Amino acid sequence: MLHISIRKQLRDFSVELTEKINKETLVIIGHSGCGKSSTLRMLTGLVEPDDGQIELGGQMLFNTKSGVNLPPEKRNIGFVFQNYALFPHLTVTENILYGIGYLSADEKQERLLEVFTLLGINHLAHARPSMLSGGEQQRVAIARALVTRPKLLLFDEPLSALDVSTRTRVRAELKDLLRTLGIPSIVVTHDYEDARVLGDRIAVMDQGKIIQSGTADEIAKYPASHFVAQFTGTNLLCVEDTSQYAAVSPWHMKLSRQRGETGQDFIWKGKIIDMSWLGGFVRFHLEGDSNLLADIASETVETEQFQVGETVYASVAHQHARMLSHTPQPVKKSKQEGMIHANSKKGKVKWAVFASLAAAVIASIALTSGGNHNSTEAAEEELIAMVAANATDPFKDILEHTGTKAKTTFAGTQVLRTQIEQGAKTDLFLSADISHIEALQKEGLVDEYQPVSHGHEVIVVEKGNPKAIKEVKDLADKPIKLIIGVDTVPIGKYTRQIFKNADEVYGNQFTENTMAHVVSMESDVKQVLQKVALGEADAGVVYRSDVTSKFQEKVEIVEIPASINAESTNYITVPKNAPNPQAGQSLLNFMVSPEGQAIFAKYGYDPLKKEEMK
Amino acid sequence: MGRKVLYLPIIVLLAFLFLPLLAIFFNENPMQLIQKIYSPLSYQALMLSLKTSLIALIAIIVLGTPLAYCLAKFEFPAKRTLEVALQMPIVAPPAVAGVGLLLVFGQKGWFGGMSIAFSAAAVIMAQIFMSAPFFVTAARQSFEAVDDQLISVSRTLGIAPWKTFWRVTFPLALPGLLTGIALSWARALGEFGATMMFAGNLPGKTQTLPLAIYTAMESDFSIAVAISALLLLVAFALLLAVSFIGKRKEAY
Repeated sequence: MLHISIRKQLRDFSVELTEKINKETLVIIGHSGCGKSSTLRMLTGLVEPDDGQIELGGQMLFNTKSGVNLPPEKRNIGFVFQNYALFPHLTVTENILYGIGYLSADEKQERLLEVFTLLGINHLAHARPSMLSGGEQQRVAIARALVTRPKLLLFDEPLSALDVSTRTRVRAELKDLLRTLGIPSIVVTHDYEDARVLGDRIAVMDQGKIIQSGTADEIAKYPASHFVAQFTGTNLLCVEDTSQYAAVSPWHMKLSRQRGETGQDFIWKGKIIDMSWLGGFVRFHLEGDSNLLADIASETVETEQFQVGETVYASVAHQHARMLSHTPQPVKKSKQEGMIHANSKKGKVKWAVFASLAAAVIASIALTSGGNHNSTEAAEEELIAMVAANATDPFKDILEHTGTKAKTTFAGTQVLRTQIEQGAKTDLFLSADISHIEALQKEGLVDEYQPVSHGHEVIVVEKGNPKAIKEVKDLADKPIKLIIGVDTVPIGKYTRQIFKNADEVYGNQFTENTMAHVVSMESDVKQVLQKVALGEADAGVVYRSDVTSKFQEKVEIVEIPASINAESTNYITVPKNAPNPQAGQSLLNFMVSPEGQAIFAKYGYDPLKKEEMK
Repeated sequence: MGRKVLYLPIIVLLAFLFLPLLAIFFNENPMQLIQKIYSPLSYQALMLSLKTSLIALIAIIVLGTPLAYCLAKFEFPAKRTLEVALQMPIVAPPAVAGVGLLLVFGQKGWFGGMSIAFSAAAVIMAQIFMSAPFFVTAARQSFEAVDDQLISVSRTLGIAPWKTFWRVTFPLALPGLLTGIALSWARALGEFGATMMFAGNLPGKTQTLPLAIYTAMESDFSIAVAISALLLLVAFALLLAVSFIGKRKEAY
């Protein structure tokens, strides 16, 4: 015995339902979206009603007043979903045993046999759900629900997933099964035929409310509204010259071309808009003041030769017209159309997003390729230079000072060397390390080279020097985080040279202790500086020339005495394959002149010795 | 004609995609390659890469699965925005991630003073940051693909939500989860930019395989090639293993 009295606000309307169900099958029929599936979900506990109570077999499942709300797993309600929802990763047997794992092996076996026999699915025991037909899936789903011995069975559109040919058979089987089981059941459907066959009682739902409830016969004979009439296929017609309504079954209708010819009591005029041959009769759809259905014997249609588009009179004998005592509610406009609209709009939005994305991608490709094109063109008349990254700032200054237009690549010396080896043409190559320029000389790519600037290394510490690093010795003695260059890049080599020099002053432990404080080895000096500036490391060893005024806002310089410092030297050359060697040479000459050296000095470089200047 | 028209672009793309990868293996004779791989530099880097990426992966799975599940199964305000935001680490340059991590977890960051930078923990954090979105996205999609009705029906059969997750949702989502794990792991193994910024580059401590390649490029190109080959092999073996497990699970 089930008592329901619930209310739940949905998006556009509220479901309000009060029902009592004994050991019978109640069918709730309505259009999709009328609230019937929500009703089932509220019963199972998957959705919580706003208000009300649900009582099943004397147990309170839900009650807003006392705050009871049992979760679905405690409600003992079997739910058969529209598409049966069999677990795809389990066999039929595993599916059926799913909910009764807590039972003893014997009892499981007993219940399994029971449902196998009841539903005739013994032969499917080891099959996977994907191998089953719709009807078989339904039987397995029912078996799975039944083994848990539910006190209430719910079916959500149990037949809509089946094709027309199996539907009738499965419907009849389901009806027999429900009768055999004798437990309260609720079936929701949108199909009147399902409702008529399965339901002991039918409740018609619209916008969340039951608008009529009764046996199939009752609601078909006396539909309470046009909505109900639509489902049952009954004509609900306004009698001419009165405000009274009559319910007329289509098979009691007669058609004729002349009014009153048949001498019947009630007559309606209408245009034939459709005729469908259904075996022994033809179903006519008439459009007029009232739309109506008329089922006419095929022989009559053949003799009368009715045609679509013709205007005819439909009539019914007085005794077949069931007069209603009330005025039925008009059919509310279906929301289906509106929904379709909304969907297509959404689709358009998606396409618009996609299209604009595609446009953006194309545009950006066009822009970048265009940009490249421009720069290559311009480069043809300009000086091409490849400059070690450490000399970026003074070189830019020199270009500006001399008004030279140049296409310059600033990168690590190793990278530049590789590019020249791979055939890159340049008018000027500034190397931070003698080894790379020597290598190029050996390969015959470079004739002569010369020093262009000197530099020295410094320790950089965070602004304010919180770790109080005053001298080189502190790198070994104080527990600090130190960052240096990796030993394969020039700054890394110079740093290790300095440590070696310091060993001689402070003892052999110096390098060992200092290296223990190293937390990272960077291949780029700027990375060392940046990490000290951010405070991630306490100290770093870098070129003095890299500590620009900008960096000096964030870091402090601790000088390394000249006695242990390593002199770093930038070398410069005009490679053999320079496309514009004169321009390269004249810029080189300026760089080693006192004027050029002054610019280097501005950026923290040390001057060239007299004999090195040309 | 007909289908043959398609062959040219297909060949061009495949050649473009695979030649650089193949070149790494054919650059030197295999014996030399193996010899170079056995250098302590690459061994240390390999071990560190495996260790850190595995820890990162575990963290990603433990922390990412609940998020993926919520995104797949629940509606909440600003969900769309969150989904888009989760893609940001995928599209953002790794350097941006490095800067961001420094700003939050660096010495002077919001959680300053934790001394995370330059430690293996920093490597793991960089890997989690860059690769978690791959797992979360894949896991979300595979959870989404699990029919809600199966979860509902499990509960009406008397099985509580947590057990339902293990008996229904998890086995059905597993192939997708494995894909997410593989993508995420491969991404973590290859993580470079953010690690470089946030964890630094110290052999044996924070120098993972990609950083070792980068460092070797500065000195010995052939070692760089050898380590690249090693990284490719590890990543390929990983993807292959996952794809086989996934295939077996997709049987139904």
